[in-house]
Amino acid sequence: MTASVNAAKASTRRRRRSSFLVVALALVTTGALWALLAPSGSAQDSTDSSEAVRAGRALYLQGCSSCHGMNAEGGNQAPSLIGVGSAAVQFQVGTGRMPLAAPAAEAKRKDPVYNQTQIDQLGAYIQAQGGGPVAAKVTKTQLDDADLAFGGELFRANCAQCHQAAGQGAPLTYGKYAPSLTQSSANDVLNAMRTGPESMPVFGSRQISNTQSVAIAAYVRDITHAKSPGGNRLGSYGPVPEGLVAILVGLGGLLVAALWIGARQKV
Amino acid sequence: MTDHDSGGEPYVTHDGPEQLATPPNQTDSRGEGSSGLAAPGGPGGVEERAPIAEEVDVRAERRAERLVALWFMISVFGTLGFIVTNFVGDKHKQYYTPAMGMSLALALGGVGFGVILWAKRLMPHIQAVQEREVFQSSDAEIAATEETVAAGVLDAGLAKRPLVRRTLLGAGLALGGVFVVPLLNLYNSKPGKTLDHTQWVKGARLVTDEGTFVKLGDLEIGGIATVFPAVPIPTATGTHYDPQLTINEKAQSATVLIRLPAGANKPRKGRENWVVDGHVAYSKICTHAGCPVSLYEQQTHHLLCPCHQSVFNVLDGCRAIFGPASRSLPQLPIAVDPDGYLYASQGDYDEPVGPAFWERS
Repeated sequence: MTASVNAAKASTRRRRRSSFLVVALALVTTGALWALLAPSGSAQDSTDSSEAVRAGRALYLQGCSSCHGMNAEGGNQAPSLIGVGSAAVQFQVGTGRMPLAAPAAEAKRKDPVYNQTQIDQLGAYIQAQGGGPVAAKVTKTQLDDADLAFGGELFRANCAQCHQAAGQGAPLTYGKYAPSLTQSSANDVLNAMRTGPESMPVFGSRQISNTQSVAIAAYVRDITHAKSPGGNRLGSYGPVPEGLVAILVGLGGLLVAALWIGARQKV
Repeated sequence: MTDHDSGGEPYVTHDGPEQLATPPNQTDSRGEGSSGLAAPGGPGGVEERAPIAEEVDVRAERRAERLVALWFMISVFGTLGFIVTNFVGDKHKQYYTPAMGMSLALALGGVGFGVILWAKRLMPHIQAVQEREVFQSSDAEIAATEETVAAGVLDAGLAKRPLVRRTLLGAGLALGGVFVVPLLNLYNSKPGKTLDHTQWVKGARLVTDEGTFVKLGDLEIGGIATVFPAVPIPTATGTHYDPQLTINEKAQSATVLIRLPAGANKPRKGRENWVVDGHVAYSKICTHAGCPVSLYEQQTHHLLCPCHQSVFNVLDGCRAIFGPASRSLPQLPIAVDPDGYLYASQGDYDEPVGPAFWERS
């Protein structure tokens, strides 16, 4: 193409031909340089992630698009997923809340429908639709090294009002509730904080830093998995159920024993 | 204790039933026997009552009967309404609670009014006199008690030991005086103006419990943070912000900062510039009993109090929409300074925070 144009111009004016040559040379050089340098750094990644996005889109169209729309734009029954990020996918699909079994005040935690590879693919697809918080991948070492006491302070200041001081969950309004955290993994806790699923407020990284959020996750792991030296936790609901059990079982047992002794007494 | 309660009347000395001016065997007698009663107005006498209309008039009796039946029917309809409301209430939420209350009131009240009218209008009206035994102890018992007390006083020797008697009296007086102290406290412990104001002042920065000054953009949309005032202190090198508060000052000044989606907030009249880019600040102290209100539902924008389930609508100036709280949460006017920090733009809340108190104006 360039050659034929240049040939046509060559017959008219020499000055014009030279300027065309410069432009053509510049274009060819730039194109060659771009082709050589630009994609070289991430060639492998881009094929991988684009494959994941493609697989994720296929899964999305099959399992999610009927409510969330063909392009994740949302619909009458479901919110838009643009900008929610792979953290939201990991939380909602990884805890089995999505796909929704039946419309209710709140999505219940259940066994996940998709395996982790599929969830990652779905996450990659949603992440490609406008970005958003990336799914957390916290390591055991990070949790072990976290400041538990500080995590506890942050938990009591930001989480305990809804999730109860021992993470046992509590009711909200109109049938909604803050779920128990006993089954939540550290990654679930981090993903929920960053994305604010359902009624939960969003706790962004500028409000609670990554170090602080890992400390909170470590504290949740601690209170929900720590051994209870005092016997049965009774749901960790505090002194009221403990007192109730003490009265019913303890005093009731004594009463039964006393009646039994009295009944055996020969008059 | 020798005197009798009934004043001038001579008290009875035997152990039998007190002799009232009522002939015996009148208990549970019908009104016809009233001829045996003493003259009206006499001691213990019972005034004879005129018969009510239902006792003499058959038509009045019928009317009363129908009235009672009407109330019972109202109760039936109330009960039916209660059951129906229970099942269809979900579709008409705004009428659910009042309809439940009114139908239950009719269901219970109908039976109640019916029974009262039945008893008053239709049941036989009987005048009856119940005889009672004398309440007083016998003379012998009274004399024995007096004797015991006198002997006790004599044995204690209060009369011949004035030192003991007077010091005991002094101890008793001092001990009794202790009761004056709480009365004085009642007078001394008026809160004065301390409940009318918090630690928020004009220009105070919003600071978190960890000591971070809150900047615009720190909160994501749908985020909530608890903030306290960092009071500005002018120094030679510029204004210094002091986040140090005592625990009581903190408790009083606790504020929730919420970032709403753009355009969601419906500011009240005159409060349009109390908000920065969707950020609203309200007192964290419930107007019902002073609990910390911080259960924020970011989809419905309801703030829920964990103690008694009061619900506040954040979009509508934190108006109380459910539960025992009746006043809105006070709003703190905020603005953003050139460095991006949020600060209290007009000083303190314009009304006392927390529950009502006697001196609240």
